[in-house]
Amino acid sequence: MAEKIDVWQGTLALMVLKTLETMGPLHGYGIARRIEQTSGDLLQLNYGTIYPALLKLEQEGYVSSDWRMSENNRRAKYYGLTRAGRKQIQKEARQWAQTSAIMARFLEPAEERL
Amino acid sequence: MRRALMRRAAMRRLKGFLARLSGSLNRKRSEREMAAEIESHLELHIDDNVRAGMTPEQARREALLKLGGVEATKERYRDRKGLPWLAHLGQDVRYGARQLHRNPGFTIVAALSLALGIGANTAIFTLFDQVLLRLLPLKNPQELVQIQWRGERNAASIGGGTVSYPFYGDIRDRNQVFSGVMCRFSLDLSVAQQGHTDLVTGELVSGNYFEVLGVSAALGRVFTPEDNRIPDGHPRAVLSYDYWTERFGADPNILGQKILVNNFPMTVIGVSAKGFEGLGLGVRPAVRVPVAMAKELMGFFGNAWNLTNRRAAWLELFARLAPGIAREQAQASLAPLFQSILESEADEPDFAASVFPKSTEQQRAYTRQQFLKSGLDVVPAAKGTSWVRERYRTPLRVLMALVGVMLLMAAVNVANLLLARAAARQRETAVRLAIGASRSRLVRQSLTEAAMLALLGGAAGLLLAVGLDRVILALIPAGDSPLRLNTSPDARVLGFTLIVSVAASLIFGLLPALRSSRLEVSSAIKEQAGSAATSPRLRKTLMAAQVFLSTILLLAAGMFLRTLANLKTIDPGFRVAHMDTFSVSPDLNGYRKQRAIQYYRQVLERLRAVPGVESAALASIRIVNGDWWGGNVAIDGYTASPGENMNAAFNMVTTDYFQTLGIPLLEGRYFQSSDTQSGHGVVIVSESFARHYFGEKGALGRRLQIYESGPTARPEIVGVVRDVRYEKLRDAPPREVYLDFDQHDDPIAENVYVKTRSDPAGLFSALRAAVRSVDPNVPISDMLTLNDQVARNLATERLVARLTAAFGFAAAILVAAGLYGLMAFTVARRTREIGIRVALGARRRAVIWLVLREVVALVGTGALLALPVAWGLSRYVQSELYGVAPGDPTIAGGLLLALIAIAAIAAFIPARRAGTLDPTLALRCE
Repeated sequence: MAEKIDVWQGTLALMVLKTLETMGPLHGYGIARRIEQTSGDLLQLNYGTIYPALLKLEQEGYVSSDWRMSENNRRAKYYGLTRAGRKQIQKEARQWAQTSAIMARFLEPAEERL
Repeated sequence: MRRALMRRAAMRRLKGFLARLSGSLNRKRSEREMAAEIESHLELHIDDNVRAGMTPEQARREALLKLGGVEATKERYRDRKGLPWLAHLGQDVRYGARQLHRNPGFTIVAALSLALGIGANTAIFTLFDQVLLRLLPLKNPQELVQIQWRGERNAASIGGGTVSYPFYGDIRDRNQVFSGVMCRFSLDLSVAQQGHTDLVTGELVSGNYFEVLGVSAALGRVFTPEDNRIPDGHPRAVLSYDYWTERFGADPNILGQKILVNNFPMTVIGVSAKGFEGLGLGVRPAVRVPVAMAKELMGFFGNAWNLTNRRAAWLELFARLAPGIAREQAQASLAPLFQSILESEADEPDFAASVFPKSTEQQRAYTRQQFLKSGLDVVPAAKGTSWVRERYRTPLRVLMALVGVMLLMAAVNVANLLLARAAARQRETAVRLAIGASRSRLVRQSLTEAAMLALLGGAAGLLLAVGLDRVILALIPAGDSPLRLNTSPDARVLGFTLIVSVAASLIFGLLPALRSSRLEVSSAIKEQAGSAATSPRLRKTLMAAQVFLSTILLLAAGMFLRTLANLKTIDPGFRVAHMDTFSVSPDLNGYRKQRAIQYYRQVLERLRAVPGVESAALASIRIVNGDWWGGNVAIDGYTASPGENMNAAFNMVTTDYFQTLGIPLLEGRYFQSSDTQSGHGVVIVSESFARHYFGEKGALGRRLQIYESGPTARPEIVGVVRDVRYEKLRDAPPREVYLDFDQHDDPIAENVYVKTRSDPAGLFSALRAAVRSVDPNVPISDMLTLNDQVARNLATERLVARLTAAFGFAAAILVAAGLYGLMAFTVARRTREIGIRVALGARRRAVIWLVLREVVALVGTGALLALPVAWGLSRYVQSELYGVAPGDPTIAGGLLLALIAIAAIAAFIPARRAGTLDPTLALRCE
């Protein structure tokens, strides 16, 4: 089994947004769970960290929240994407793709670059 | 596109910030919601875990573990929810307030010493800002420049750097660097309407004056170039907004009405915009008239001041730079134009006529050569122009520097107090560190407390400043045109005070804060207060620095007090006791020539008839009042070397002027009644004049040429009188020529001197009544005793001396208090050591010396270091000093006394305590 890694600073927000995009409105626990699953259990995620991240996104207007009943009848705070949030996903995904492409070029085997 | 994105991102961040700010404010609700959310999270997780087959206890444990701790999560959430630094700041402020409240003595002393420092700074800055820094309230004031003639003008002149009207026209029409050029001349005017006469400051202006300044009308209209086309053809006036409201009650019907300006009817066409006062600081022209009306209003000054004479320099030139033109560029671009004007002026016939006809070819060539060397300066005028600024620039700079030193002292003083308190609070600090307070948090907390102290001091200082400014302005002589400065703090002053307070708090707060955060926790908790960690070395260094700074202040006080004392001993050369003086302005009532002579004679007669008046005389110059009337003279039989300064000061006086003012005759005779217009011309010269041109003897019988009285009159010197001070008390007497009032057909002698038998101030109303009885419409101004006038001439020096003395005194008290605190602390710390010494047989004297030695060392070091610095700095204020040399023994002696007094006050109680220490008690202490 591969080594688990910590979530990098700054990427968690994008993961949260992307999760909300695919799953629709979801509570904090569900989001954390989903992120872990999506990463193929490779990420070491402290569930507690999801809440400040959600709060920040909400303060910046990318997500909105309301209290609803969950499928097994528990009250939970559900988060959903706003329009600004959807736009933000596109923007950040593009930036992320660029960054990883650049990094990939650096990490390619040396002879191929010649 | 990219910028729009960035802006949107910034908006998001701002939105986040605002959300957090509001989060900081409604804590309770968010706490509840957060708790609920975490609770629901755990429930969901536990449900899942149970479904996966765990026992409820296992499920709960696992969920908590995975969450990373409920409290830690809440803390992270809170940090994001609100603004953590805001919360910390709140805590720090509450903590600081408690600390300040708990030590009221400390708080009061610290706040008072800051209030002194900040208050003095704010007070001086309020004046400094208005006099030296503030720009005119005009559109783009930085485009405004003044154009000044530099060098020989070969012209009758009023004011330095001024020009003639035709010259103004040349510059206005032929330059390529200004968007507009205007000229102005400021003068006193009498304004009469409906039987009420005012003496006001007025301005003669070119038609484009308001256009160039960008000032519009509040009512009616302002002048345009059309209002200044035809000489004598535009009897129109524009009132200032303040004058309109104060004098005419803001009556809009004033438009189109006639007012009498110097007895000449003029129509009011408008009122200038509210807030526009003029180009001079503290001088607010009430009425503006087109310069084309010069002949009607310039009568007082003589006939030279008209629109065609190029040999009369009287107008101040101002211009607005065209867009994109720098001042230096404008000056360079004017040079060729100026040169061509110079050359054509030098070739005109009236140029030669203005040089003395009897002067030699060589002298004429020299004058011409000097004239052609003249230059034209373009200087910034964004702040306007002002004699106030010229007069107070150096004093204000000196005072500003001194209050800066004083603030530094106050800050160091408070730093020392804080260090002492930090030493007392060392254990508390150590405990806080030990239980996990971060050092940066401790520093922040200390700084918050320092800032609170500074704001407290700043608020008190602000009150102090308003009071101090009122006192200062009351000390500046008002005369008839009071210097109107504002003493209530405006936004700029408040901002300055805030910045000064915060800067001060950084100075005095940072050092103790950093020091306490460096504390070694373990040793500080274990050891007693007063351990090595609280070594007073830093405090002693700060103390010496205070002595250093206060020595500079004390020396400055000494120098300015000495200057004032020196000036007071000056013998002005004329009688000061039992003398009254005032001015009348018959010319403002339209009296000229015969009419004026008649008026003056009647005034003298009526004055002499007033009971208590011994004699009365008139003169054209108000002595030691900053007035100057001078010009070149030529002397028959005396060949001036090229470039020799042939300038003399003039004064036109009535026959009994010398007797009234007690100016003794050295040779020849005084003026007498037989010297009349028809008789041959006579003058009296001063001793300096006679000695300079004729040596010990030989002045009598010589003849002069004075350009002012026309080239044909060549009066003879009939007397030599003793020198008197003329323009200022501090300036040496000039070479002076007295002209005889009775020999001139259009005399100017509006200054009255009255010698009284008793209290001169008691006669004021009688004198006024006597003058009014001749003609109630002639304005009387500036009535005071000659004694007061001489004192008024020293007002600036007196003000600076008093203020620096006050600053020095405050500094001395601060130092004495600081030294006392330090020495008391040192003695307390060394109680046990002293006890041992006494027990081992040390004598009382030796013990007292132990304490004194430290005080002497501290004061000595600070003072000795300060002396060369202060004397060195005194070079920069030389122009403000009089008869004070570096190392002046009286000042050095005074300083020594002051320092001894400070040391004695500071050391007396601690030394006595050390000297009377009971060894048995001392050894048992601690």
